[in-house]
Amino acid sequence: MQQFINYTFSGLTTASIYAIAAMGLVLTYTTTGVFNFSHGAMGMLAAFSYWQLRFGWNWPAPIAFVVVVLLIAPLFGALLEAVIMRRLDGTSATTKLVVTISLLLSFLGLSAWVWNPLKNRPLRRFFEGDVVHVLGVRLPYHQVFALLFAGVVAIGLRVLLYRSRLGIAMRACVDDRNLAALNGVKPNRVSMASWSIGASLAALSGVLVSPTIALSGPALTLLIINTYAAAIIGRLRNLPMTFVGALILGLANDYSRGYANKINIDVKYISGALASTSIIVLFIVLLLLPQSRLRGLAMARVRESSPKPSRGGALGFALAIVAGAVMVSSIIPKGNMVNVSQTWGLAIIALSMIPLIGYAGQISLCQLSFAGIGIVVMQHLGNHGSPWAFVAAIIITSLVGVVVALPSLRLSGIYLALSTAAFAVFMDKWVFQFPKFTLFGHSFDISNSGSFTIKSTHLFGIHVQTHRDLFIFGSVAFALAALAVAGVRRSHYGQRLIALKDSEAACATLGMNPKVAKLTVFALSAGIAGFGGAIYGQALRAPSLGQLEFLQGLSILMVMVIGGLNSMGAAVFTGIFMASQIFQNLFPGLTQLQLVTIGLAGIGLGKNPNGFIRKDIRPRWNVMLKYPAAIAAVVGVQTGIWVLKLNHIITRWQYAIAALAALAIAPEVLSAVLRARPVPTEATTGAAVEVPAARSAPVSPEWLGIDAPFTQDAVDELDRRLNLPTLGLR
Amino acid sequence: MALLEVKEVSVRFGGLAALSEVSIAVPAGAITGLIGPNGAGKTTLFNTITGLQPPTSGRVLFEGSDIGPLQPHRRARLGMARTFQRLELFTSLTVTENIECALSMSARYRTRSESNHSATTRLIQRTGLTSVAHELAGALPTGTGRVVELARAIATDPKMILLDEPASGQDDAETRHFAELLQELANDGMGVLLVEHDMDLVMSICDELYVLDFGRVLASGTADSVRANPAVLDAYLGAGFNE
Repeated sequence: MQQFINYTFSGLTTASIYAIAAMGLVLTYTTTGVFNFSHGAMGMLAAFSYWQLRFGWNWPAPIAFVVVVLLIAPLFGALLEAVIMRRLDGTSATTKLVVTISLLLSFLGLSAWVWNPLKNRPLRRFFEGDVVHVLGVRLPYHQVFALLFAGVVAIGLRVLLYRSRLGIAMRACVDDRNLAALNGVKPNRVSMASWSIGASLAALSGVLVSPTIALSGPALTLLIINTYAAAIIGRLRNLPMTFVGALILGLANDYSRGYANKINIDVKYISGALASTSIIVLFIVLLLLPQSRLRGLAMARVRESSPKPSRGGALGFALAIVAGAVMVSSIIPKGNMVNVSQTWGLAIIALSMIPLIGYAGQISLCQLSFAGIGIVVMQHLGNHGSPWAFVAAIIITSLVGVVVALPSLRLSGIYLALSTAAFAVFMDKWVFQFPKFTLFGHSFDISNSGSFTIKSTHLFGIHVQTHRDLFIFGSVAFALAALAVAGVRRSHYGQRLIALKDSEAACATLGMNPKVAKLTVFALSAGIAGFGGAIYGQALRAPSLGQLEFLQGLSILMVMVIGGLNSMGAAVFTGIFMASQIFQNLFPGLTQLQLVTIGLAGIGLGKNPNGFIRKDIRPRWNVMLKYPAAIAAVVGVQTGIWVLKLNHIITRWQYAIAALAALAIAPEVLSAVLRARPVPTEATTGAAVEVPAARSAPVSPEWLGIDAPFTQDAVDELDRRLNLPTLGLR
Repeated sequence: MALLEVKEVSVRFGGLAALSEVSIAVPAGAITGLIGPNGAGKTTLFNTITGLQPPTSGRVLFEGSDIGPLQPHRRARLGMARTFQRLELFTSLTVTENIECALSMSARYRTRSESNHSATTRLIQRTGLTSVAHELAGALPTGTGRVVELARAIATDPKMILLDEPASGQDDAETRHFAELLQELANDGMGVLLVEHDMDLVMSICDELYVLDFGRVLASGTADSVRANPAVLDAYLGAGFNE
C-alpha cells in the first residue's frame, strides 16, 4: 500500500508536468490553429537556458527561473508569432505542420550547437534535499512545486479564458478570426499573446522535467512529445479533458514503471514498452477518436501541382541518374565513397514520400521506420547475397504499411501525422531494440541485438561488393523506383491519389472508395521505403539503430519538403544532401549547421509549398527539354569535362565546379541563343497584321476606351445598350 | 415509381433540425427543382441523399431499394452523381485529367466500349470546355469550374444527377448553354435534381418544383402552381407581402 501511494505521488508529479505542457499546446492550437510540433523542443531550449543561468553563470535559482519562464520564453513565443506564425494564416494544415517540424529540428540543432551534447550537465532539483511528509511519503519540494504549478496553471488558464477580456478575444478568434477583428479584436495581438503563454508553459514544463532525466536535447524533446497524447485526449480543444488526459498518462507511466518489476516477465522485454507508454496511449486514443465526417473542404487556397511526366522524360531521367552515377563514382576517392554510397538508399526512402504525401496528401512521419523494417528483412534473409531478399523486403514492408494504414484510415491531417509519429517512436524504442527471444523453440533476434550486418548481393553473376559497386547498384535501384513512381503518376491510379488529396468528398461521390486508395498507397509507399532501406542498409553494411531514429526520419522528410514533395529531383537532392553531409565537410566545426539549415529552409516554406525544384529549376529546364540539340550539348559538355578529369588534366575540385557550372548555365545559354536567333520574317508580318485585326473586333463595353478608342459608333452602341437617348460626342 | 424517393428524412445537428420529415421524389427523364431561402436545408438534403450526411431518421430509396446503409461511393456506383455548391474540383489536375479521373472511377468504366480518350474528348466538346482542357482546374474562374464539375458528374454515366447551385458564378450566355445541356440530359432519360437561386432558370426548365423552408417542404408542384402559392411568397419575400 505504501508503495502504491509512492507511485501515485510520483505519477501525479509526472502528470503535472505533462498537464502544463499539454495545456500550453492546446492553448496555442485552439487560438491560432497551429499544432506546435516544436512545443517539446521549446521546453528543451528553456531547460538548457535555465541550466546556463543557474549553473553556468551561478545565478540564484528563483531569478534564473523567473527570467527563463516569465521573460525569455514569452518574448521568444511572441517573436515566433511575429516572424513566422503570422504568415501561416490561410495555408494548408500540412504546411503548418511542416513549418513547426522544421522549428523542432532547428531548435535541436541550435541547442546542440550552443551546448555541446557530449558534455555532462548535472541539474539539481529545486530545494534539493528538502522534503515534506504527506501520508507517510517523503515528498521532495520539487514534486510539490510541480503539483502546485499544474494547479495554478489550470486555474489560471480557466480564469484567463472565461473571465478576462483577452481570453474572450482569444475564444472569439478561434470561432472566426475575421468576425472577431470586425468587432474590435486585434487578432495578431491575440495570437501573439497565446504564443507567449504557450511558450511560457512549454518552458515551465521543460525546466520542471529536466532534473528528473538527463539534460539532453533529443530526450527532452521526445519526452514532451509524450504529452501530445494528453492533448489528444482533450481533443486538442478541451482544457479540463487535457488535464484529465495528463493525469491518466502520468499515472499510467509511473505505475507501469513501478510495477513492471513485480510481474513475472523479464524486464528487458518490456522496458521498451515502458519507455513508450505515452506513445501507446496516444495510439489507442487516436484509434478511439470518432471518425471525422467526410465533407467538402472547399477549394484549397494553396495550389500544389504535380504535372504528369512523359514516358520519354521519365526514361531520360532514369538514364541520366545511372549515367551521372557512373561518372561521379569514377571521380570520388575511395575514402569518401563510404558516405557517398548511402545517397541512393536515402534517395529511395525520400522517393517513397512522393506517392503517399506528395500525391495522396497523407502525412506520414514514419517512412524511415519502414526503411528500418527493410533493413531488418535484409539482415535475416539477405545473408547469402540473394537478390530475393529485396523482394521480401518490399513485400514485408508493404504488409506492415497496410497494418499502419488500417487504424489511420479514419484519421487525417494532424491526427494522421501524430499516429505515424507514434508508430515511428514505438519502433525506435521497442521493436528495433527488442532483445533476443525464443518463441515455439525458435530463437528470434530482430535487430541482431542492435548490431546489423548486411551482406552484399549477387545479381546476374555480379557480386556487388565495393562501395563503388554499391553506389552504381543503388543508382540503378533508384532509377527503377523512380520509373515505378512515374508510372504511378501516369496511371489512373496516380490521378486518383491526387484527386483524393484535392477532394475526398468529390472522390467518394464519383464512385471511388477512398479507403482502398489510402490502404494501397500506404502499402506502395511502405514497399518503396522498405526497398530503399534495404539499399541503404547494404551501403551502410553495419547500420546502427541511431540511423533509423524518428528525428532522423523527420530530417529526411524536411529536406524532401524543401525540394518539393511532388518532385523526383527532390528525392535525388535529399539523397545527396543527407549522404554527403555537405555541411560537415565544408564547415567541420559546425556539424549542427545541417540541422539548423534544414529547419530554417523549411520555415520559409509557407510561401512556396511546391518546393524549390518545381519553382526554380524545372521551369528553366522545361525549355531545354524542347530542344534535343540542347540536351545533346549538355551531355557532350558533361562527358567532355569528365574525360578531362579521367585524363588528370583537371583536378577533382575543378571537375566538380566545372560540371555544376555547366549544368547551371545551360538554360541561360539556351535562352541567349534563342533570343539572338533572328525571328522568321513571315511570323513577324503575320503578327503585325493580326494585332489590329484583334483590336477591331467588338470590344466589350467595360473595356471601351482601354482596348479600343472611343468613337461615335462605340458611344452610340453603349447608349443603345443602356436604353439612353443618343447624345453627340462632339 | 420515381427514380429517387426520399421518405420522411430528418437531420438534426444537436438541437437544430436541419431537415424535418422531408419527402421528395425525383423521376427519371425530367428536371426536378429544389428551391428555398439560404439555410433552408437544400445542401443538407443533397448530402443525405449522396451519403455524406447520415440522416437522423427516414429512408432514401434509389430505384426502389433502400440505400440507407451504403457508403457514398457505393451510391455513386449505383448511378448517382453530384456537384457541389462550394466547388470540390481536383485543383491540382488539369480539366482533362479531372474528367478522365471521373471516367475511371465510374462503375461502368470497364464494360464501356468507347475508349477513355475519345469519351473524354467528346465530353469536353459537349460541355464547351475545349479552350481550357489543359489548364489546372484550380486556376479556373468559378463559373467554368461549375461546368467542369458537371462534366465530371456526367462522365460517370449516372442515372441521376444532383446539381447544387450550378448557375451561380456564370454569366447569362453560360447559363443558357447550361440550361440546354440539362434539358438534353433529361431528354436522354437522366433524372436531374436542381438546387438553384436563379428563378428564371428554375421556372423555365423544371418540370416539378419543391420549396424547402426551415427544413420542411413548404410546397411542391409545377412551376406555375408554386409561383402562385402564398406560403412560398411569404418565405421568399417575408410574411405580409402583398402584390
